[in-house]
Amino acid sequence: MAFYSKSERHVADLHEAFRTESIDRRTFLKVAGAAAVASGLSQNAAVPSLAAPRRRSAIRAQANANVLVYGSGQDISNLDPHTGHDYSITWGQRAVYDSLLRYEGNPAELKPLLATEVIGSPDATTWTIKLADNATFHDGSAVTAEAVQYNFQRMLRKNLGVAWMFATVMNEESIVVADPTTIEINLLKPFAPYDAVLPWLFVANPAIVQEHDVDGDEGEAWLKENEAGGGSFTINRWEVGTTYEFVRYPDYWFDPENGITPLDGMIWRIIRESSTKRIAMETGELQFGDRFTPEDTAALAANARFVVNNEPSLTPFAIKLNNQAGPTADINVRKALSHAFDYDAAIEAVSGRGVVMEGPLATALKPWHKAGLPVLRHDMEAAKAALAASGFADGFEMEYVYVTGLTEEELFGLILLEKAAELNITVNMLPMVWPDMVARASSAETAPNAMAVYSGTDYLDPDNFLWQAYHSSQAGFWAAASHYTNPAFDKLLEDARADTNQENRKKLYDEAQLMLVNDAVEIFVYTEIESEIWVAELGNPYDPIMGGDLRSIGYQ
Amino acid sequence: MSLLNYVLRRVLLLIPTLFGVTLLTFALSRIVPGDPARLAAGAQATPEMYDQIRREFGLDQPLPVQYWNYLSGLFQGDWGRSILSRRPVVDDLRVFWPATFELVLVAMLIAVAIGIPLGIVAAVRADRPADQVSRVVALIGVSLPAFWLAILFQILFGLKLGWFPVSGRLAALAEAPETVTGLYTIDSLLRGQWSTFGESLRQIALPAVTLSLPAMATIMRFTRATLLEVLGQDYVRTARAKGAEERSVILGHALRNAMIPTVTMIGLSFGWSMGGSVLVETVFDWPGIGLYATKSALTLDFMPIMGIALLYGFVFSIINILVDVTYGMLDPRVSRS
Repeated sequence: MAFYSKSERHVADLHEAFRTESIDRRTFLKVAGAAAVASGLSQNAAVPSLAAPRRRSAIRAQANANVLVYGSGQDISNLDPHTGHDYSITWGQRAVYDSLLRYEGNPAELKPLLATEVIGSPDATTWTIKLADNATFHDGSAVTAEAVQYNFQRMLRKNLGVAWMFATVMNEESIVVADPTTIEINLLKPFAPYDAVLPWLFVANPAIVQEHDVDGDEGEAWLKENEAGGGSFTINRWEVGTTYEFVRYPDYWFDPENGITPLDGMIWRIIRESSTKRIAMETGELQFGDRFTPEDTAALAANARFVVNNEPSLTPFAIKLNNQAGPTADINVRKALSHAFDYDAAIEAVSGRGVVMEGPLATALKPWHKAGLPVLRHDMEAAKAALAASGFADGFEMEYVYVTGLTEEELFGLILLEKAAELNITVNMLPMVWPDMVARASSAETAPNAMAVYSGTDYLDPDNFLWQAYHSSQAGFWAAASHYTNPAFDKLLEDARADTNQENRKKLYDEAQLMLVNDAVEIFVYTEIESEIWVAELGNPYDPIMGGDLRSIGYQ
Repeated sequence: MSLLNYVLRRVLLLIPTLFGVTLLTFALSRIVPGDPARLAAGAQATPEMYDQIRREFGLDQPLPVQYWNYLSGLFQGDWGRSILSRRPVVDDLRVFWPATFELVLVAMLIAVAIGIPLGIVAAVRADRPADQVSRVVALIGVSLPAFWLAILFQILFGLKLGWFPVSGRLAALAEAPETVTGLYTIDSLLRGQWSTFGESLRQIALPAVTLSLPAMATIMRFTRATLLEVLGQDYVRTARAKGAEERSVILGHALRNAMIPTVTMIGLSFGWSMGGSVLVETVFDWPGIGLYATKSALTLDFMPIMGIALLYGFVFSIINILVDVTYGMLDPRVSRS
């Protein structure tokens, strides 16, 4: 849905600005300077250039200088609000759709968006959602309770993308429209962090969706590359695998009241090679990029034009040890390996871009992370003692499986290999493509002895990490590759899901974290510091939750 | 046999070749371990979500049924869907193939335009300074890794000199020309969009030069070697004895006969460049089929992999036919036989 003509839109904007004298000379020069940076025409300029434009594309860029060009290695492969879900997709979805609640800031906080109020019953089974009465879609129609109900139901019917967060606790009958701006959700099971997952229900305009229904697909084919939302941005250009351009929707109903001047546009460019992204940042072709190598990160960090994110993420990395089969089923073997692993070497391996984990939760997950856990640290004497107490005192052979081509995971494996050798444990390094690893993790019998796994962040609650990785119901998922089974632990998580009192939940999760550390379920290695880099004029756009929110990003 | 009959026969032979490609790629994709459905279902998918994806993509069917469905789909223009992006493979190929084709085409034009003249000069001035220089250039062309050269070019011509952009087919704010062929240089020309034409030439310059170097070096050395051999033959000596101009002897008599191995090499280089474009595409962020293939292979996304194999099989076969036809044009004895 484009609100501007594609051809020469920027030129037309500029002509219009001059015609109506809505742009003065000073503004023009500021805009022109920023445009030079945005379009990469300033080449090596360290600051926005005020030089006159030399090429036609420079003229085109001036009217839309307030544009962010983001370089990412990841494609926006499916914009459908209910079937697509990954880091890059959510950047797009958060731009063009509104959700019931939204995450903002770092540390992230839940903020209202379509929902002005979300109230859970004390037993966490009934949730009342009050909607803003002025919310609209891009066609001007109101966002009603019926529209939200349709979106819940479509998401559950599709059963893809984010449905895993909802499908285990609700079905299509769970959503009741109380009045045009009120919805009641009657969950099948208690789920205390329900409000925390609401930012992932993106609300599409049912009329537009149904208009593009083909053979009962509920618009699925169309919504991959088009939008039917009411978000702060809309799509202007969609070049598959190359460039996705979003432009600000001029009549957006919501004011985030964060004092940020909104961007006029955002361009998502697919650039997979870190060195290319780095050079593109330096030439001004990009203003924001992600997934740089440590070397490129260090090089850009040395340049005052750029800001390198140094905030620890909520993304833990662990070496999952098979708790059910093989030598690692022995708790003393797991303790020996946890003691043998050199955590400081692991941080060095990622050029310092990480912090050692203090248990199963990222330390940045406040207030949920429990401080002072008796985590097992690198100590070869303790490792030898633990191994001696195991049934494998003479050593053994084990597999370490990691993603092909992922250098850090290979380095962590080499660290484990070197230290385990001192215990007479032979580690066989086995690189695999990710689908193979997922398949291997599907049962305790086939799961590797040790498997390298990064876990992402979807919702800001310990349930996100602990349930998916350690609750026995999750056996078969890659995140639960350790195949940990402990009824007492399961009960703690289930009780925490059934209680909306945060203090009670904190106690339960504290106990759960302690249990995991005592059982040495896996080698808790580190949480990464994501390599996101942006130009200094953008302030601090880092978002610890998956994707980014353009409502919170603007040039200073 | 007339040329037309010959071409028709070769085109008909394409059918079993491509059938073999489908059988082979299908078998390989089902033999390799791993489960793309689990990956597509997402990190936390429930078993129901996983089963739903297997049903949706027919992965729950017996293998012969799956192959039959694939084959019958091909005849109806349905090359399957990517299990990850859920986009039709044909649509993806339509998007990514022109970018690779344009890159390889421009690279080969550069390789031929520079390689053949330099090869001629090297042959005519064999073992003299010009030949030595061309030998060094060829050595550099074949021995320097493409990714290294690519980064070097980016730093030198992109960052330091600012002559060329370092990534993509067009600048971020520039819009692609309306699609006719999918080749931006051609489409912008056809539409009379001169600034876009200039822009797309600037964008393709560095990746095309990088990709052209190994082919250029090979073509240069082949031209030199074959031309040297031909220049030593009796009929060339005769032509010279009859007082023919040296230019006429080389370009009119010798080069045409020397071109047959070179044309073979050009055809092979075209194929190698298609395969080798993946590194160049990666470094220059060129949205071609090489990147698409790599991404699909790493995620075991079978349908795109099979589609790419089929497309490449087709293109290779066509190139071979064109090379064979060119033989006949260069040497009438070939077409007569």
